[in-house]
Amino acid sequence: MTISIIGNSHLVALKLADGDFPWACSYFWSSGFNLRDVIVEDGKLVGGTKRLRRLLAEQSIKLGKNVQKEIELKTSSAFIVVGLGLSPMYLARAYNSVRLFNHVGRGMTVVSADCLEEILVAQLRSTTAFKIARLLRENCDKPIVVVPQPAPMETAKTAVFREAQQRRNVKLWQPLFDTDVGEMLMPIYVRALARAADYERLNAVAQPEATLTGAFTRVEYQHAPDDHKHGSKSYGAHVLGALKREIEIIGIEAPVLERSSSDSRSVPERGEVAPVRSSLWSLSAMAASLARMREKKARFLSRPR
Amino acid sequence: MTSPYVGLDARAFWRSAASDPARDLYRKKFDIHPRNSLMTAGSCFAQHIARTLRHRGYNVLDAEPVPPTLPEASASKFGYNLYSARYGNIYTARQLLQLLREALGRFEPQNWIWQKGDRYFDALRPNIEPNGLASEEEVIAHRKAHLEAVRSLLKKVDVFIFTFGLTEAWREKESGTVYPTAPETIAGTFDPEKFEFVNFNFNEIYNDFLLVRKIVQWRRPRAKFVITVSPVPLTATASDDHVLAATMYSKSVLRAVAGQLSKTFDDVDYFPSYELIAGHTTRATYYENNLRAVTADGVAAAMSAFVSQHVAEGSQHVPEEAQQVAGNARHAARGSRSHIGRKKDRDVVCEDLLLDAFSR
Repeated sequence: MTISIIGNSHLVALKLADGDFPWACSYFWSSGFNLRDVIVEDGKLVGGTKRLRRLLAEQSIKLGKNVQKEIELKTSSAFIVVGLGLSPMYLARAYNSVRLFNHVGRGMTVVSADCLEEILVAQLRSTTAFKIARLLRENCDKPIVVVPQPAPMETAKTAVFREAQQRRNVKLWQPLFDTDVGEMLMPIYVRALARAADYERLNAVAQPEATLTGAFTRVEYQHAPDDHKHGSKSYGAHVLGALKREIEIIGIEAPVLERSSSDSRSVPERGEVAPVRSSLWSLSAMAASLARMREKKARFLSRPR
Repeated sequence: MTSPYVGLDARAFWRSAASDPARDLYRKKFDIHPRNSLMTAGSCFAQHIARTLRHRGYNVLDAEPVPPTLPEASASKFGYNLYSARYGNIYTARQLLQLLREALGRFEPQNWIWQKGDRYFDALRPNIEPNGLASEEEVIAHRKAHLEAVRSLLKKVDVFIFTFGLTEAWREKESGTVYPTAPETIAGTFDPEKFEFVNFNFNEIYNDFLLVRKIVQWRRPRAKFVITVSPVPLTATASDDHVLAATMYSKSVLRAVAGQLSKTFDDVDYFPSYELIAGHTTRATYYENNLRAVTADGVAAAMSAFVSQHVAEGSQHVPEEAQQVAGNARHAARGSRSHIGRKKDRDVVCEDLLLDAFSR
């Protein structure tokens, strides 16, 4: 029984923590929004462009055998779609033009929580994550769970950014800096996520409450000190815990595991299919790939114009 | 001596005019320039007017625009895009007058926050938040913002288009506050000690509209009015009469008020949407099978008659649908059903549909 996890860089946190996840996981990964070009062909999720096919093939060779260049839909028991634009950023964006009555200032539009939720539902459904999930849903009846990327790290509130885009992002999030405001708004976002998923006959797992402070992710779940976007291994563990509960609710039973005294890793009991572990997954390769992307971006930004 | 009827236009004679009622039934009294700021309000039929004029490129004011990225389908659910502000349906002249006076600080409605379970509703526009709001405080804040929007409209309006819907209403005995729905239809609790049924008569409606005109023209002395009567029959009556008799009474009174206003004031024009849809000549073909809801053809026929008279100045656009629909109207007059747009217009938001649900 394999669960396919599809996503962008936000999938790393889950990968880091999947040692205790009771199901075998296979990964389908490409950075940014590359996966927006996926298609289903002959019962497989594959790149819809030459470029994406090449990228996926390269990742698969580079990162290991449980990183797939394509996913055969019938071999997966469930699909998890991570990140890919699914983010509380839409909440921040909406909150720059509308406000709830208790935060409204001069010249701002007051809306009800229901109306804000409606705005978010539409926005979330337009994300790449939902497009992929919709594509999967059109082609199979297996459980599909969408998982948003984490809210920005709380360190982003005070960090000094050199890039204009990052500074704009911080400005976008400013109305949500206040923890009380964030605490009031996040449940609306979570409801919207659930409703958006429901519309498409999907399931959703929101960011675990324990990892949040207002509308930001607690610093202890930060992937790296200068990374204000990605979650750490412990963040991934929280999400996988929530996913496990969700998958069990959907009706897929977790294989019963027991721990050997010599190995902290869990092994299947009663001859169940052993979860495929990540021995061939090179986390450092993935981290290096992310670092290369960052460098490339920095080089691009520092080019003389 | 010749008869005074000799030499009159063909439109004056039933035999010649009834075969093609859409043609020449409406003659505008004044021009509406595309640059004019239009404010729309009224019963649910008025939503069609606002929508058509917007699509036609008229400058329909919108003091409470749809929040960015709220999909259009959801917008009307929250009272956006229906009228020039989120006042919801305004069925009676008294309700309109009350709103304007409240916006200007001359009236304080009473007992206007109604509860349903743990949710709170603005009883003066109970349909604009389908699930109500979380607290009384929130309802008050939303109303405050709404009244500010209404005030802003009064500073800009050039042409106010209002559709009279009903003569019947429910009001609070002590303060005279009128509501668009009876308590308990959407929210609230009906207490006969507090609330009473009222069926406004000609004089009351006429005088209420005179005050509305005065308030609007106090700020915008050149403001003009286009008034219509909704062709939609009553869903229910609390008058003790049969609902058909109550409908005929109500529409007759409203039509008489509209006629009187139009005859009296140069700045008030009556647009006969009622006649175009409910008149004998259409043989009820502009109504759905329930003989209440207006078909898309009916709306198109009425609106085409309107826009054919108010073609945007300098525009080469000839309203094609006006001709097509005129043809359909001829069909209707001959007793056949028209062929275009048979689908129901489900976008119109009517509180009184709830009454229908209650009657089952």
